[in-house]
Amino acid sequence: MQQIEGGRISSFQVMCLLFLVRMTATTISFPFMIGHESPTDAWIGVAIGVAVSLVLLELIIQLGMKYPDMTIIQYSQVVLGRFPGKAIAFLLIWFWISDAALTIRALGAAITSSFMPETPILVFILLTVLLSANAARNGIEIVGRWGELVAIGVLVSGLVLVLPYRAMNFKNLMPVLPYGLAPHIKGSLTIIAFYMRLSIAWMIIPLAHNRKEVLRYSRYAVLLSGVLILGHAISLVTVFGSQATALAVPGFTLARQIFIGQFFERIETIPVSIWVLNAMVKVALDFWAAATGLSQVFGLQNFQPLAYPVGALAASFSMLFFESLVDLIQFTKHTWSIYSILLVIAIALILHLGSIIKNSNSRTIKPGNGHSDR
Amino acid sequence: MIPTRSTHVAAYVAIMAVLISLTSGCWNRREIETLGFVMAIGLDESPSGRIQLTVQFAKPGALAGGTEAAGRSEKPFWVSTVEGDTVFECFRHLGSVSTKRPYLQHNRFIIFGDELLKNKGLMPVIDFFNRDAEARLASQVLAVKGATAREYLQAEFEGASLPSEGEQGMLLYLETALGTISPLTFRELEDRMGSEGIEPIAVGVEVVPLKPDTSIKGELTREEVKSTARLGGTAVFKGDYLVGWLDEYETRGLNWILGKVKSTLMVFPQPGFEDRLATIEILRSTGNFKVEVRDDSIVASIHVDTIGNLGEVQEPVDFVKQPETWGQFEKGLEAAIKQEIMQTVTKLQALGADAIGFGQDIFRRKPKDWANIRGHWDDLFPTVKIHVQVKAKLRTPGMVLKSVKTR
Repeated sequence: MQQIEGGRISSFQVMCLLFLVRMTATTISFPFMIGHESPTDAWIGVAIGVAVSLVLLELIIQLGMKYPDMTIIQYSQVVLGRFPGKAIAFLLIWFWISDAALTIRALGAAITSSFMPETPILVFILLTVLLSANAARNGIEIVGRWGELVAIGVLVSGLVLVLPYRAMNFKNLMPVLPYGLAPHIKGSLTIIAFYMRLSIAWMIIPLAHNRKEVLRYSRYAVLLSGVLILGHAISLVTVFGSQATALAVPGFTLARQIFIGQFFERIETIPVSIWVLNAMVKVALDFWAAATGLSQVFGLQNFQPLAYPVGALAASFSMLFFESLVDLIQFTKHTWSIYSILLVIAIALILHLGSIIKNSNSRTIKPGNGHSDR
Repeated sequence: MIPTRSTHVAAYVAIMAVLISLTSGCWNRREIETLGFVMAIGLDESPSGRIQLTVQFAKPGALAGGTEAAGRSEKPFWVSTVEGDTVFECFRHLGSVSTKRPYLQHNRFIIFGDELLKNKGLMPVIDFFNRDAEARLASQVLAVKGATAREYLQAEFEGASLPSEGEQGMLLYLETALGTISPLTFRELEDRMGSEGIEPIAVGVEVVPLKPDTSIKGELTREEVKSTARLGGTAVFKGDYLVGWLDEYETRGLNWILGKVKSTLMVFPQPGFEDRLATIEILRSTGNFKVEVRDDSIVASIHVDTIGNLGEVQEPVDFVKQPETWGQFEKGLEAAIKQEIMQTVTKLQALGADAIGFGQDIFRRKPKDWANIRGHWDDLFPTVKIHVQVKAKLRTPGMVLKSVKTR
């Protein structure tokens, strides 16, 4: 199969990108925490979610490793045949574009509700889309390098979780399990749902230098982001107590509680700008995946002309899908969580099954599998 | 379409046009000359029953005068008062009396008037400060006893050109040297409001009118200084309504229980002399409590550990000849602290407001018990039995072992 993306990235960059893809749903908006029914021990839900996600990650990455030279757009057609394969390709492309729209809107909503309330949200959406689409157009190498830098920034911004130490009260973490496990199982669904975004690895794996490392590095990405999400959940509860679940933009509000000494205040713009970059890398990766996917479905020579149109599509979706921040949060918590888990897991299972059936058939005809690792 | 030179030029011009329009400045830009830096916000019930907002603005120009006389005659702040039906509306109404647009990012205090807290409660006035992107949750919360926040915001303090600087200084001094206030930020106030089994509190302040002939020498030489203020005590809420006040000693009692006493002085009858007093300087203390739910009663055990130095006696003591008196001082200190704690709990039980968080402790450690009693906690709180254990250690008697004696 022909590769339209000539770039190559390292496994470390894959890890950085997957890490960033997961972190936006914690730094920019934190749907898991918003309205959580048992905030004092919310970390239990995060732990459950991360553990389950690690298992589901195997399902996702192993699928990519079966056909290490192809993107999912290509091997879904190999495994299922032309039309069902294309249907899955379109579902995924739709998923990436709509997911980008969700992220852009969440980013715009976060900035307009906490920093610049009078600026139209469209300004932030358009700026994000322009930058991200431009990065996507330059190919995966650019996005990968950008991601590497920003991922380090996001890790450093983890300081936000410790710096409001003067406002922290660790007694707020008690009691443990006052309402039983039910709210945590429910909450962990939101955590798992956002880990399903890691399915974008299906597009990146063929471009990684040392593919055998990808599985290991993607596990690191899950664990690393898991630790940070856990930190966010704990830090928010220790600082805000009973109000932790009431915040519309928890990460930003947390960053505002940093006071070092009596004079070093209002440094929230530093972590917040890193988080905005985080969202931009994630959106760029979505655009790149959608553009590459579309060009592979239609057999185009080049994905680059599609980057801006995909961005424009995501920008308009982000304006059309959601009425308000309340709408956005309702959708994310109740609809998107279920939808993304179902979609990704269903596609992974179908393709796994398909490839098993196909392999057992092909073994009877001609032994040996053509798709070996280089 | 094959890109030609002219399309490149057209694209270049288009991009430049977009950049020019975007880089001209922020959408939300506000020039500093148009902004009034809000240092403190006061909220009252107006005489007609609406919300009255008083805002204290800093006047940077007058502050910049430094030590020279130019800055002296001009007040470095001014106060504007408006009335409205909601807090946000009041802020916009400020436009009709204030020359500058309020800028809340530097606000340090949110002050509530007595009447507002009794009649309207906190609920109708606090939401704005959460919702607004500019307001800061780290502002300190004060409640004015027996006066309006408006009167309080007119008060000035010696040694600080801006009243909010003065208040900050007093808060810090009191908190670290006497422990008669229990300072909390707006965020903590809300945490208390929203938490199970604990009631909000606020630092109490009083307005002290100066007599017309008082001449203030020192930094403030202006004649229009009418009042100053004193801090101390605690406003106690139930739900979001003010139900009563703890005086300064009762507030310290609360701080003993919460482990928030940093340094303070304890004055109690000197051992062996009923009418003379001994003063102990407390250096450190820890305090905690545990609430046990038993079949027939709820018992709160309060445990305080403290270390102090002997600061002053009024009747001669000689620790060289009578070392056993040392232990009596420790016992006396323990009894004094215990009495202060008992007084606080009795007062709070009489008010029916669980400002200590006994209920919260049950919720945190025994969530199942709390589920059973949370419905009638208001009836149970006044019946909670108190068991206080104080361990006091005295370190040194100061620079002398023996007092001066008259012959």
